[in-house]
Amino acid sequence: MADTHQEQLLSDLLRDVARDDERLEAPHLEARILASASLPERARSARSRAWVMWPVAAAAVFAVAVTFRPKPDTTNRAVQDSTEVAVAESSPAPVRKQLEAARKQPVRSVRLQPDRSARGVRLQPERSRQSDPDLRAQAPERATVESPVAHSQIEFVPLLPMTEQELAGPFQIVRVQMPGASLGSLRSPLVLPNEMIEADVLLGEDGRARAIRVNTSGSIYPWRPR
Amino acid sequence: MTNDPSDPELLERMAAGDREALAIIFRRHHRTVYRFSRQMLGSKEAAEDVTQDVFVALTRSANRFNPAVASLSTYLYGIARNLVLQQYKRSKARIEISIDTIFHEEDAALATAADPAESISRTQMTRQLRLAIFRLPVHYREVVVLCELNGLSYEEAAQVAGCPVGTIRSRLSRARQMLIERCRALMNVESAAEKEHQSEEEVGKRWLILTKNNC
Repeated sequence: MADTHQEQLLSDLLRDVARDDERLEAPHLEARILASASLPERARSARSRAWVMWPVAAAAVFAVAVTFRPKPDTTNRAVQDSTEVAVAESSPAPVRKQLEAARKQPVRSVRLQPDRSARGVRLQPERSRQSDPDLRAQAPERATVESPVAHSQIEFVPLLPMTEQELAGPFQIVRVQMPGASLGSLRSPLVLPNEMIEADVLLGEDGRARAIRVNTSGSIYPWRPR
Repeated sequence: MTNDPSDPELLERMAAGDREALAIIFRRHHRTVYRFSRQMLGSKEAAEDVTQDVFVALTRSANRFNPAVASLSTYLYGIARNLVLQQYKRSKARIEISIDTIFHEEDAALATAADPAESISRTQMTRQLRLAIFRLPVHYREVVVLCELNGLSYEEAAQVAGCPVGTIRSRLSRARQMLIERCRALMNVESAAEKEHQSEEEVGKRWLILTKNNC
């Protein structure tokens, strides 16, 4: 009898608790849930966009690579793997004079320009076009249109420091074909390491390479007209 | 004549990206989920977190819901139960701290009661009962919460708990026995108070107030 009464009392109390708890609600959670819930449609569209974007990006990269890919030099393809000596010219007197002049100037490199009349190599120190009135008078239009790429077209980069005796020459210029990786830090980032490039190497009398000039009319700068 | 869409229809719309469908589902079911979480955990903040996680989980696993097996509310109870059990494993101390939150709300309700003396005694009883429910082992507590406080049938509670109906029956019976044992002293006092109330209404009511305050 007592147990029945206690059971009944417990049931009543449980009903009271349940009735009290009916007031419990948290409507303010709606905004939080709607903000934090990522619905499948949105997730699916994001995933599909990702699946579309990746092929498009890959195609764009491929198109850029094909556009700027160096065109193979059909005339030299047969001998690409061999080192080729193309030019061997020397002219000690003008070279020495210009190298000495170049040493007196605070320059980082020397520019060699072929002297067709003398059939030799003429070294000319790189001077500031702004400070040299002769250069300004000779080629004022070049000062405005010359790009860094065009500038590097005729620039020899020293490979070894030259002594007084070595400056006397004679020099030889050897045109070689070599893998792009051989340039080391001089290699343009657009040149692949296994790509064959063409360069002019300035050889001293002892046969050591003193300076190198990448032939920009070759295949390593394909955006430039040949 | 109402044209309220059914839960499966709303779930289909929600799966197609309809946020309004999610909002309707939330308004329809958030009370049951929140109440269950709060009754199990005793903490307002923890219950809100669980409620939010339940509906976020629903958006991710809406395709797992099979209306032929159970109702959406039962499905949500199941998700909430799993999250509550995870919460239990992480922190058991939170329950003891947060009981006061519920008591404060009851005190606020007391102030508006018509008969303060009777309300005080009833509130004391329900407080003790809540405390006893919170101190039940979790498997017994969930059965009491589901069947007694939320009105689920044994079959629905078995689906939520993932156990046979017989287990629910036996757990509920055992849980009620435990609650009676833990509140026995209180109930004896209550029984005596009722007898007094029948014979001498005024005197008994005063006595009831005194005994409840001493408990």
